[in-house]
Amino acid sequence: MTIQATVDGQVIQWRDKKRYLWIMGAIIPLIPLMMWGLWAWTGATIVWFFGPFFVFVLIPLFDLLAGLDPNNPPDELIEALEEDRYYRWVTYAFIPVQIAGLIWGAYLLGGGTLPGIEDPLTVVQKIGLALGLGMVAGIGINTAHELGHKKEEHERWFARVALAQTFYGHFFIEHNRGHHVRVATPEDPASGRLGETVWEFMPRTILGSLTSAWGLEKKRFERQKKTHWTLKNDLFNAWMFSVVLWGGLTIAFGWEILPYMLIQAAAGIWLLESVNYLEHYGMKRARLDSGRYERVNPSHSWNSNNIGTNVLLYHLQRHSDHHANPTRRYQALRDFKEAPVLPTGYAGMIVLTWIPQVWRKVMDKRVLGHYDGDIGRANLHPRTAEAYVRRYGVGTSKDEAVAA
Amino acid sequence: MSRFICPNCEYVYDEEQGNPREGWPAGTPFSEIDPDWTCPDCGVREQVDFLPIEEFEHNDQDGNIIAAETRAEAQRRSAERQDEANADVTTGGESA
Repeated sequence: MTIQATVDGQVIQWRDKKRYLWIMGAIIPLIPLMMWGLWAWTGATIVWFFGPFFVFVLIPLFDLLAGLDPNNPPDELIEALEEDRYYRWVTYAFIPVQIAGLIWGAYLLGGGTLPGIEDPLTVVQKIGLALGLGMVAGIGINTAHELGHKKEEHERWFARVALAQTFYGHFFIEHNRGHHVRVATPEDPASGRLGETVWEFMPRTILGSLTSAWGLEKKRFERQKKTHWTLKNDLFNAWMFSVVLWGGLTIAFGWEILPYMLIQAAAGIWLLESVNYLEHYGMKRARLDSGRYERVNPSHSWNSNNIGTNVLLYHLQRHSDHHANPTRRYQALRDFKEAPVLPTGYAGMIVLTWIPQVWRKVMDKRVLGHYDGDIGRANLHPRTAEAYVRRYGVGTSKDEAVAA
Repeated sequence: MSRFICPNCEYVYDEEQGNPREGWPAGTPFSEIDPDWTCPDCGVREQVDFLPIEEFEHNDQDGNIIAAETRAEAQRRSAERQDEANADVTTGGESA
């Protein structure tokens, strides 16, 4: 389908090659059903671990094979592209499939049987299934992310539904009004620092984001001179979705599912926070004379044009445009030529974070290059800052060399 | 009563209606809003970055970030140019 607009009497046309590929995003929540098919076909316990295999092996491989997609819509058509309702329905479609998959999974975790699954699952199989549900849950946070940024109130409610599975309802508050405000500064719990391992980052971001979200809503109600202990508090009304969902599943399938529900929530949160870790790794905004940080610009986020991860994550990897224009819809996000680029897609990069030595080997030189060799301009982690400064020195950027 | 617009996402703060959800009751003048209050829609511009709606031409979504600092810098430059022009007139007068 071609989109067109008339600007200054000139007709501009453009065809979105990814238009129908976006539906692929909705195959992620079908992962649990794929496990059903694989199990009925092979009977091998390993197939219950298909979820992590899909995210950490198949998607990175697909990224390496399918290559890059640097196509941008013409500026004149961005508005028309955003107005095309088809694109939002693709994201809405994710949510019912996600919930249906979770109910199906919880039924099996509670010891249920189905055609092709004649015996209740063993503990190992249930752990695999829970991890698979967690992969869907984590990518569900990404769907919630797309919806939570929008001005339409109903889309913000859809975001709460997508976050229910992980009990991460506070995410869309902290992300929009906390992370986006402080991104790429030492104060942001959800921006990875240079020299910080993902294992250190996890507790910092999970606790920091929760307390920040709490503070943001508390402050909002203080301005209204009302108590924040109310269901109007977006934290509580978002968490209510989780209470209803988890409570309903527990009543239906028994308390035995709860340990596995915790595993899947942890896996989903881990997946999402890993992406947070790498999206701004080492990036720091300069402080202006006014005392404020410079406004976010394309140089403050890591990007990737790998089409595989981009289609599955609604252009999340066109992250510079997203941070410059947070309310812009995913289909209209553009690749900025000047923005820093990761060596592969987010899915493959997550695998590298598991071994900090490998991660540092790949990323530190890129951060250093991004700041023209001046490590002092990067977002340094207090624990390792001294070692980095000793190793690379500060204040040796080209600009300052010229000035000196 | 005036209206002010977020230069990034075009959210409009109308003094007449305020924004009770954010804690600004109807009739709250824009000047009484915290300078670090962030735009409720995009979150990436603050009170000081907002423009009176009459001065707004287009959003800054494609670069040229409209922020308090860029406006201050533009004003400083135009003031400097004005000073230089004045200085030229003065020196011209002395030499004659």
